[in-house]
Amino acid sequence: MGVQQEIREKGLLGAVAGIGDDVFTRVTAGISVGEFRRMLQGEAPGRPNPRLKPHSEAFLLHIKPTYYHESATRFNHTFRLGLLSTYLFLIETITGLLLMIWYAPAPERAYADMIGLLTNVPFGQFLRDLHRLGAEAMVAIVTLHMVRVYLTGSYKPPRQFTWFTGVVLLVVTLFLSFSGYLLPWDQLSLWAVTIGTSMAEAVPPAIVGETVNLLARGAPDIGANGLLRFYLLHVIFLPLVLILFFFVHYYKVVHFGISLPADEEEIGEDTASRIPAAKRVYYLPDVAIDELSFLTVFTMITILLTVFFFQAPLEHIANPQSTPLHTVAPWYFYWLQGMLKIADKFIAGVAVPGILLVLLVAIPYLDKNPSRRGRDRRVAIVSGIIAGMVMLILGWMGTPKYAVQGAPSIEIVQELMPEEGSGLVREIGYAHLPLGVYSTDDHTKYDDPQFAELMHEYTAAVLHFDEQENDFNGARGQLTITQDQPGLKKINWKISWYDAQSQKEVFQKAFWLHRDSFYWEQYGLKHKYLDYLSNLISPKE
Amino acid sequence: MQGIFVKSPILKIALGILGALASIILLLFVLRTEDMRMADQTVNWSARKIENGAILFANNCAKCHGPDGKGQLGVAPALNSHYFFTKTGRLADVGFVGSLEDYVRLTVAAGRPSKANSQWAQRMPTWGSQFGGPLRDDQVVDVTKYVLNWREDALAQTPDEDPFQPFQDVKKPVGEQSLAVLMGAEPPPPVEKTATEPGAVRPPADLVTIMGCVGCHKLDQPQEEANRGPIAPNLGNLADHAGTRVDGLSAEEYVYQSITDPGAFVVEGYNNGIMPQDFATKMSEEEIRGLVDWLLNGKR
Amino acid sequence: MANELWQQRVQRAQEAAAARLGVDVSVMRPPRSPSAEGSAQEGKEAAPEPTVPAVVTEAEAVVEAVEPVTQVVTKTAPRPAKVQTASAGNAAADRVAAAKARAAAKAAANSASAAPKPATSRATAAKTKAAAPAAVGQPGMNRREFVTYAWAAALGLLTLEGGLATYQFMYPRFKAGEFGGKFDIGVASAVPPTDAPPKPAPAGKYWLVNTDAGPKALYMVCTHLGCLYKWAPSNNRFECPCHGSKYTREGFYIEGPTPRSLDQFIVEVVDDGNTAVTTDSDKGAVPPPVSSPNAEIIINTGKKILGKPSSESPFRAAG
Repeated sequence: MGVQQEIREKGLLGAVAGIGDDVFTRVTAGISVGEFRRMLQGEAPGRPNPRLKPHSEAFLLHIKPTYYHESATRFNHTFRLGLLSTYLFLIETITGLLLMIWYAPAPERAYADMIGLLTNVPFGQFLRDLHRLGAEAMVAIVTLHMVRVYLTGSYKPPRQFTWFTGVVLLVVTLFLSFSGYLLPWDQLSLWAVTIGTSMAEAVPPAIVGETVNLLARGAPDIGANGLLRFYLLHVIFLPLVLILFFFVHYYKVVHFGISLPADEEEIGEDTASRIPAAKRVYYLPDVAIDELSFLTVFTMITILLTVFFFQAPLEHIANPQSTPLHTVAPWYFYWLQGMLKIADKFIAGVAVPGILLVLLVAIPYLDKNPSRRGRDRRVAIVSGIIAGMVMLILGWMGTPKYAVQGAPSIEIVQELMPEEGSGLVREIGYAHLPLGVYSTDDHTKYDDPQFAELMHEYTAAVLHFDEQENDFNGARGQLTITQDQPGLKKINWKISWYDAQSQKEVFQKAFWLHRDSFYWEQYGLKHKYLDYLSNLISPKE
Repeated sequence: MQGIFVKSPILKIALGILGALASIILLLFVLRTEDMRMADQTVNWSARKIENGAILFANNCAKCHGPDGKGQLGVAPALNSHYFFTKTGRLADVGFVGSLEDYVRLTVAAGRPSKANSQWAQRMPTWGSQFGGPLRDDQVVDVTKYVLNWREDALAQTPDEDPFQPFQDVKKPVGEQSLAVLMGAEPPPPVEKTATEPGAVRPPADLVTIMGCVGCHKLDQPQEEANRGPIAPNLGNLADHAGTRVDGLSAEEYVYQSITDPGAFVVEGYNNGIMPQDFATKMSEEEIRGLVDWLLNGKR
Repeated sequence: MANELWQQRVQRAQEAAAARLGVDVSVMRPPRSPSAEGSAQEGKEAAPEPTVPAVVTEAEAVVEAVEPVTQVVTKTAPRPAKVQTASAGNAAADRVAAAKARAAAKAAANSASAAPKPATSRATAAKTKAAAPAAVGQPGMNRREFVTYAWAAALGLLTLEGGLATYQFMYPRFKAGEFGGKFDIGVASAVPPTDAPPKPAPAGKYWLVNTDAGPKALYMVCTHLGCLYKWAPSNNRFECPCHGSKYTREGFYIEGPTPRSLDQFIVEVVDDGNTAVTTDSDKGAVPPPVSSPNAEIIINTGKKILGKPSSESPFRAAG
């Protein structure tokens, strides 16, 4: 009908409403305003079901199934881990893109750019922390997703290829996290990535390993070339690979349908295209609401954690001449670091992870058990649990406490005031370090409870090593705090002991602490934010 | 277990609203506190620079400038000094037109390689990597920030507490000579009378400081096998062996030759070319003889 | 890599599943053309168009069987009555059937206290109650719809806030000493005298001009099309080499194609905590007075006052 005629028939408002309805229907690819409202109200759709049209006519929803099997939509069936992984990737992409505005991958400015983000850009610290937390969460969620799929046997036919693409996605996620690790260009970054690329060097034959190492670093040592290459890997190459494999993965997931609980689906049973009408839960609006609600709650939790409980670390600037004590890999590589402590770099760094990867990929082809039910898969489930425990134990071995302990005196000081990071002394802070000379032999009662706690820990550490080590006897720890400059205290540690041959030995190390500097641990409450909060509530002049 | 998994869509939507609102409030909180946080972080990272600089200073600079920055006579000037931090002090004396921070940073980076006509006997090493030194640019900045952090203490010093060493014979830099003089159109301004005119004999006890002898030679320590001076022989017991060092030279002649022509004989174990060669031009004959006598005098 | 044993295993599994569900084993086989999946689904949905009674029967049969999954039932059961297909003849019968189905569903829901999923029925009851009051198509909004709109509004607000945060994050930051930031040029005695020629500051992109009223910082860019004008000492004025715009020493328009006088940066005079800044007036920017020779002068190159239109310039050349 012509617009003129419409106005005549329905009046101006009616015509506008009609046009509005028309536009709405086109934008939503087939859902009129009335149908939309009915959908929101919880009414059943009409016949033919117009809510299917966006799936077939629009692009955004074309890959999403129009309806799901009811059993697959329950939260405790999949825990929506796959959805969460995708959402985390989206968060990482957006935060990453924004962070790129203030960062350039050159050694002479990368670290200064990080400090610039923290000190001079609104929401700079928030976005950086969110990016880091999102990355660690993504690795964890993706792994949990894999564990869930393993435990429900959802990798069994016909879903073997889906599992394969999933393992590829896991590896790409780990590499994404690893490549991003280098970008802040601090000590943690440089040395963790040096270790990682050195493992690549161990791939036999030697020529291959060395070439891979050189290609990754762009130079014999990690420097400007390495930083740039890792940056390119991190922002363009690996994300493209991930998106590609994600497309394949998700297509396959929709094609075969999310696997139902083992009691309801046999292997080879087609549960995607033959869902009985009684068991259909439509994407629009029911599953969409499920997903959106879940993601909103997850976003809230993530923002809360980022603001109050998480800080991405930034240690001293990268120093190629000096490796700090207790250099650690990121937590998801602790298992690797653990293995490297007990085996040589080929076995621990190349062979075992390589075999692990091949095994992972081969699981669907090795597992011939036709049942997905737990009680029929005891071997699979038990071996999965054992594998998990082994990873956890290796992970514990990867922490600094295992097998890389230096001399007791070094360890005592490193514990209380580490070269990198916070430690008890810096947590206590400038204000709670009274000037003076203190000894672990004294049994004075210190006025300041926090300083008393520090001296207590110091004494306990000295005694602990005294008892444990033969070479460390009659030990005495001294702590001298002096005012070096206005606002700057010098904290001098001096530990003297007698070794096994009764020779006196002394260890000294000096640190400085400024009144205005503060150090946060990576995981833990950010106390300053509580101060800000109370400042907002009751502002002080 | 089932109870915590919400089934009703209204509850799910309500949770969604809760999540959205909580996120909004959290982000508003961040928005509101960003200025405070950025200010705190700026101060935090400046403070960390000072902490880093303290370590560098202790490892590299303290042995000449002193761990408290008060300098050592004849070795390195005081930094923690009222004179150093005032515009009418050091910067005016050396004629530096930039800020004190620029001055310190440039000095740390470039060092003081030239010792001609200088009262400081030792060269200051070059630290900046762009000149071949061991420190990166950010490390040079860290040390600079540490040195400048003495400002408060330094400005609080009374003249008695100020450990500065006065500049002797500071010549005006070339730039301050007028263009006309440089072009030859005008005669240069008369050179200020230095103390080396006849009649003005500086006492030996002053000369050892002014000429910078104490920078390398310890006057109060004897030179012994177990106690050799690290850079130059100790002069505590000079009288005991000055006459036996070189055949044919008496003690006075030996000491005289050591001052005026140091390269002629170098004590074993020490390097040639470190002791300045131009003391004869900087001191009058009478002053040198006075110095020789004073050095050989056991009761100085 | 098909092999006999494997095929047999799959077939046994499919038969077992079919027997359990009580359907024909052909249902268990994947469809022949996997690409027609989407349309197959829609085809199944569209198919009921001519077979409305079939859906009714199916729904009724399902209801009669009192399946535990009652929520889907309440969705499909009342529908047959509202179908807008050309099955008006069945309408009456449908409505009766629908009413029966609804009642049965309600009964099923209410009596299904021993059902394995009690939470479902509770929610279902809530849903039925929520769905019941408003009939379809009527303008009344029910609670669920309203709450969904509220959620959409909250999410919209969140997106807006995210946009605001992104804007704040992206906005350029200026450091002191960088163009866009503040330049501290020292004490007032460092400013050249009022008869001296303008002093250029390339880093801050301004000419420092001292006038009787106070110091001015003229933006080095010509207000015409962006060239950098020069100081012509012989004529004691600024002249732009690109198109010949000319300005006085204090930045007022003399002649040329430019539409306005020179732009100025805000000058701050800080004396003992008091700050005087350049202010704007009808006649152009008014520089701050210099209170004492020890006052600090700061040029804020992040804040600019535009020059007044050329027609208003008191120095414009006649003709």
